[in-house]
Amino acid sequence: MREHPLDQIPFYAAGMLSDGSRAALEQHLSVCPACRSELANWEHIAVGMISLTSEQTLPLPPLSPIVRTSLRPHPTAVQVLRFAAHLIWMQRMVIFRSGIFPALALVILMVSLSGLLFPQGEVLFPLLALIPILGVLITAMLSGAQSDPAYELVATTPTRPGALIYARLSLALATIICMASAGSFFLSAITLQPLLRTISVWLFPLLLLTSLTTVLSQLWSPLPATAIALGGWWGTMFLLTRRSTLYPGDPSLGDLLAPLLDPSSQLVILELILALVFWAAGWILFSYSSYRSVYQENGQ
Amino acid sequence: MMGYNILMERRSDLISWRTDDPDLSLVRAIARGDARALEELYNHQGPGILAYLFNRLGDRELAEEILQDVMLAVWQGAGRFRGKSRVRTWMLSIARYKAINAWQRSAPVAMHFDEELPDPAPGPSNLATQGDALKELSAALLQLPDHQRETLELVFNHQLSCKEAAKVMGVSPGTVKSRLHRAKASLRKLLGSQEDNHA
Repeated sequence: MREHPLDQIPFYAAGMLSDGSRAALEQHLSVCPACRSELANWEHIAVGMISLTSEQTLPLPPLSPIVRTSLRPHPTAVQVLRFAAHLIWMQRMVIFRSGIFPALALVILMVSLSGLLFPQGEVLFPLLALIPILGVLITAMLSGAQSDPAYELVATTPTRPGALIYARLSLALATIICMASAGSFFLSAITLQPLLRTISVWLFPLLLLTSLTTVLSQLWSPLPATAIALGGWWGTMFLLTRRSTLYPGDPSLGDLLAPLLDPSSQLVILELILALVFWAAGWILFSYSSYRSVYQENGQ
Repeated sequence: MMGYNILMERRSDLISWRTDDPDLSLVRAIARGDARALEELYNHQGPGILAYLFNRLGDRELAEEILQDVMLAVWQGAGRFRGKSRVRTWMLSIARYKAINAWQRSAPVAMHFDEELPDPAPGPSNLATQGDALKELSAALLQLPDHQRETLELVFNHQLSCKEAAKVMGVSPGTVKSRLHRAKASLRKLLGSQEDNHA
């Protein structure tokens, strides 16, 4: 819809009309004395405004030191990765305090060795039953941002609690995964089980349960998160093994738990998908809380 | 006359800055973490934003403080700026938002979005060079309700289009037009009464 010339004249006076509108208005002005008079009025007002609030009247102060200190250059992807690796590595002082590292090593060694006590087909049960639980307990222990006094120090550092929790979890999980992989390698070598199968037995449930515990720990607290994760795991095992194995002719535990033992089974793939969903949800929750705190600080 | 010359220069410059907002490349550089680009943008847009803030708040120190907040917000938000509006419009919108927030936090400071502005008139030497008609016009402009003077300022001093001025003030383009016409009518009335007083 074409605008009325009277509405366009102030913007023409300010030099703010597009080329097309400007040409049309100039044509109109050449034949309309009333609009020319209107333009003269607006030009008079424009000159008055420019004279009144001339930008040169206030000298520009220098950028404040507070703003200058905030101007840290945005990091590159390599710098971010390097910082993340450094942050994760720094957590070794917290993770491995109070003899956690030797305790973990001992537990995983015993879990791996105990597999040898089971019959050949059921050698993987201790790994399946205990490694994921170990992961849940460690996750719960490290997710107590509200209860752990160590996190009080976070307020004095630029690192956000979410990033710190993820850094600690990454190091703890990497440690468990390395140790359990070594145990799996040992078991595979002795029992001639395929290594991929031995590792997938505990790796996918470990990822699923730890990611679930992390998300739930943020929503509530580590204790109910642990209860829900372990309860869910127990429920899954119960559903798979509810058929009695006490009588001859009944299926063995190995047959009943086959959906969790076979790396290509649908249940194992589902575990991996759910783990990815929970990790993503955890990151979104952390990012949202960080974003909110940043913008509240800046009053936006 | 200085104001008239500025007006004519701006009109002849129209085509160059409408097709290519030079500040956009600065904002893109700021988004990449270039602190020198922020400094350059500050030197380019800072005076205008400061004048706008001072005219709204009537407090030079507070206006300078909010200008720093605006630059911090530009630093943090440059990555999210999509370039759909001009950089000046974007910065004026931030400045207005920050000024309202500052006013809400510190009630004693007068906020001149709807009230009368304190006298930010140019100094005596400047006034002495202006003609009587311009002096009368300046006096009349200072008596306008602030939302009308703010609209005039955004259009004539900051060279915003109707849509841009509407965006900064959070009103419709129709409201901008009606404010302009009301401002002109008010000025005519005020200048008429001043002429009557002279008579």
